[in-house]
Amino acid sequence: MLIRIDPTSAVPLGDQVAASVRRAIADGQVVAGEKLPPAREVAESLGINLHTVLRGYQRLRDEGLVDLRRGRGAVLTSAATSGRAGIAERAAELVNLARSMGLGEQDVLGLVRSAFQQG
Amino acid sequence: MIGQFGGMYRRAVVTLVPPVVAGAITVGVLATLAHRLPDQVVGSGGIVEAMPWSRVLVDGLVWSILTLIWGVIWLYVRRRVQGGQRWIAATTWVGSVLIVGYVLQLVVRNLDLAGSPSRPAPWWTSPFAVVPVLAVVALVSWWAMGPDPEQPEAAGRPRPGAPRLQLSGGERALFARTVFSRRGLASALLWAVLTVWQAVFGAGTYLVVALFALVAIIAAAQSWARVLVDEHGVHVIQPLLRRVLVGAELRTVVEARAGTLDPRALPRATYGAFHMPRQSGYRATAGGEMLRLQLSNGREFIVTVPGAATAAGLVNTQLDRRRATAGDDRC
Repeated sequence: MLIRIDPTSAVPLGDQVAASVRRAIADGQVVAGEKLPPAREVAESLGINLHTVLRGYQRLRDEGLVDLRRGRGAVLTSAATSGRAGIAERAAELVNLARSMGLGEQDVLGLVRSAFQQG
Repeated sequence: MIGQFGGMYRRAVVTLVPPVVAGAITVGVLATLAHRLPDQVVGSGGIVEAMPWSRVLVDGLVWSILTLIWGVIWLYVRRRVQGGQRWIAATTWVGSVLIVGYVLQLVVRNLDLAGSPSRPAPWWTSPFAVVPVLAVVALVSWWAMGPDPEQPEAAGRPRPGAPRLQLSGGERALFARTVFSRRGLASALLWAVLTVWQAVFGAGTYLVVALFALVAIIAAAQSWARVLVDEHGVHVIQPLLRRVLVGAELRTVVEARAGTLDPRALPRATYGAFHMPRQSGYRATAGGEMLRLQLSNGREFIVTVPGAATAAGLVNTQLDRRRATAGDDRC
């Protein structure tokens, strides 16, 4: 699994870590049950704050892709399928794009809702 | 150069002195306490229930000499592999402690004894005491071998055709992958079963149980690892211990390539971390994807890992950056 971060990017570093993991799931590089590298190790290797990595892992947990348990680390859940990770990745990209255009949460949700209704 | 010879001298002393000391302790203890020991050793724990003390002396000396010869041969075979020399020292230290422990427990059980039955085995001969002690001894030997000699810094960039990743100017990347060796795990399970069998039904001494348990623990630790590639280099880490099993610093890497491991390229039983005259690394699978690093000292570092092409690309990209920065610094 390749974790990439660009400190010059406008996207928060934690989100970039989460995006890397989503891409790895979507590409089939990692599968359910596999452990993510410890946050401390990722932080040291990439020269970023430990809490930044943890924020990325927590985002993945909120998306249902990762199970975070003390002493066990971050383990990919059975929901961590390539399809679900792909959707989560595109959703994150959509949110970033919306933010850059000044759109709020309700605006994006409205757009998604109407897209569902049209489909 | 003097530093290198100094390091070699230190490593030879650290590796070979323990068996000599074990032999000396065997002779010294038996000679000093001869007047307080019965004619026969009672409760030797071996095939025979009683044997002469001369047999214990000969056994202790023969095992000490064999451990010494083992150390000399492997030091010669692995004379260019500093990482591998640490394992040799660990074996001679552990072997020496076992020899001394065996002799001492017999002496303790027979000291001032009028006749059979002998005293029960002391608590410290239990595998639960022996195994942790041996683990500590191995760690101390590891430390006593001193730091690895400095590897020469590699010069030049990887070839234009070598795999690379597209990273923007300030972008940082990390490749991490957990690898399992089914054969290593099967080997660990086998040794664990043998340990339990030996402890419950076996006629062997505590030495056999302790050795089997130690081999099982080492095999288990070697069967599972995380491969980490970052701007510092390539490291194979034992996840539970969080310790590097083997690794290559980026500054010593000439070029990285990805390929497929030919099962005949390594000895059949070589799994886990390995150190050989021309190669070192970590093998989890018989064949399959392999990351191959060419090092500045002419040796190769090999790791079997899925996604080896990505890992090789990251190493070469990091090398390009590192050498470009070094070039800028020289200007």
